[in-house]
Amino acid sequence: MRMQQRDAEFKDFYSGEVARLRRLALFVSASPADAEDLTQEALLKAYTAWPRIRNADPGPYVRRTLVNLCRSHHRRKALERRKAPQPAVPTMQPDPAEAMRVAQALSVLSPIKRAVVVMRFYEDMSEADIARILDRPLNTVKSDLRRALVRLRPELGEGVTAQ
Amino acid sequence: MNIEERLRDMGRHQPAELPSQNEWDRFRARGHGRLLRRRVGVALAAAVIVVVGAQGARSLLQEQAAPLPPAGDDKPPVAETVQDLIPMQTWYVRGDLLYLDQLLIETPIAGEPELAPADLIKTALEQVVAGPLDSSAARTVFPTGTRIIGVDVGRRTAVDLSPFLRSLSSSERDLALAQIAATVLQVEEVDSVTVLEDGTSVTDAPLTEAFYEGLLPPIVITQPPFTEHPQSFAGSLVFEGTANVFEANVLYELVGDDEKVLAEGFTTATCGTGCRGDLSQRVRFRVDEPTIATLNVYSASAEDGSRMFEVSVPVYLCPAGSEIGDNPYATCGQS
Repeated sequence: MRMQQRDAEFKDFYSGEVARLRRLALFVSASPADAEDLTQEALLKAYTAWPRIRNADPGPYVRRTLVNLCRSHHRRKALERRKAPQPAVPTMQPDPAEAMRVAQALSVLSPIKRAVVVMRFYEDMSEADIARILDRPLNTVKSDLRRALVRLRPELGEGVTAQ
Repeated sequence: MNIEERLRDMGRHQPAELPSQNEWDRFRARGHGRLLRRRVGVALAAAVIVVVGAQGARSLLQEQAAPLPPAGDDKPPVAETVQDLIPMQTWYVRGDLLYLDQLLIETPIAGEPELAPADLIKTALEQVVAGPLDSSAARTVFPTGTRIIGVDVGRRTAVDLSPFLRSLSSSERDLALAQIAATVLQVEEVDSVTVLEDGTSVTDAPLTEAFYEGLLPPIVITQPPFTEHPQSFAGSLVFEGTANVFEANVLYELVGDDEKVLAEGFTTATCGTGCRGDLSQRVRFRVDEPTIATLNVYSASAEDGSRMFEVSVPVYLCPAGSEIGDNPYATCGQS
């Protein structure tokens, strides 16, 4: 596949996805400092695999790659966090106070549950799509989501109106 | 507002962001670099690839090492410049010879503590011990789990590692020591390296360049760097390195993505046929738009003229007059 053709096709994919992937990485990794690198790495992997994935839907491929990278990142950072616990909190616009509360709450979840929650509510994906992207059984995704919400409720003060 | 609505609301607040042309250009060049690295790694079965921005690393290290905080000021120096990339040589093994790759280390952004030379060397050594980023091209001989315990940088630098020798053969031992020595001795200010294993020196005398000279591949290209971020050039480029080839004759070509040869020629090292000489050659080219290309440097067989010892380096070519800017990697200036 010629590079010019690859570039032309991938540029459209990149433009349409990079902002969403960046935020997905931000929430799943809970590390603003590393989210950009993780996003770029996932996109680079998609770029190099483009001839193979272009005819299928490359969106799930790059999300699965990104979530896997975030989980590996999480494992590597676990020891460091034990030594110096500093929960990273993504900052967002335009409502930073509420976003920080939500992000702080999300950071109590495991990376995979965080990914499920972010994809379900932030990316507005169906549970079936999430199961396909994360390569997990549908019932497991439903269970992840249910448990994540149970875990989040006390963190977010369910029923309390933001602001 | 219930929890589901609050989570959804967080997503709805996000404005649509489209990447700038410059962001895309940087990504594209990085992607090209990765593809080329993969291709080069696969294609070179017997020859040796090389890499590195040694000159850049040296000059930047000198800049980093020069300013010291005044006595009594316990605050570390902070960076004043925007984030940049410092190329550091990382030496691995391919076949039974050394193999040169490059690691681009991000400098701190303005206001953050500067990287000291010891930080750069330690980062490079940690990568050397762990193995190359692109596993298709080379390997490290250090056993998995080997750690850099400490690095004391000076004219006589010391590198302390966790135990690693026991599982290595004698030839692997020399290669391991050569990996460390070559990586540390890229810094001009360092004259020799003492390698320690849990605090105990593993050689009778400190290592110098003479220790690993016989393990270098016939052609070594130190500039331009071989990296995931190909270095950008406008109008012409200069490649540098060393060679120990028949009659010191070295050929080169610059090949575009469409396999078109953009430039070709030959040059002569300062020494040959049994001794290693320096290489430095300017290559002029003309492109109408930013182009990914490969610089191939090789020697011709005296018997049949076939290519030997070929080294391939990805580069990013810009139209003449382009302003490369402060970051010479993978862009042709701001759009």
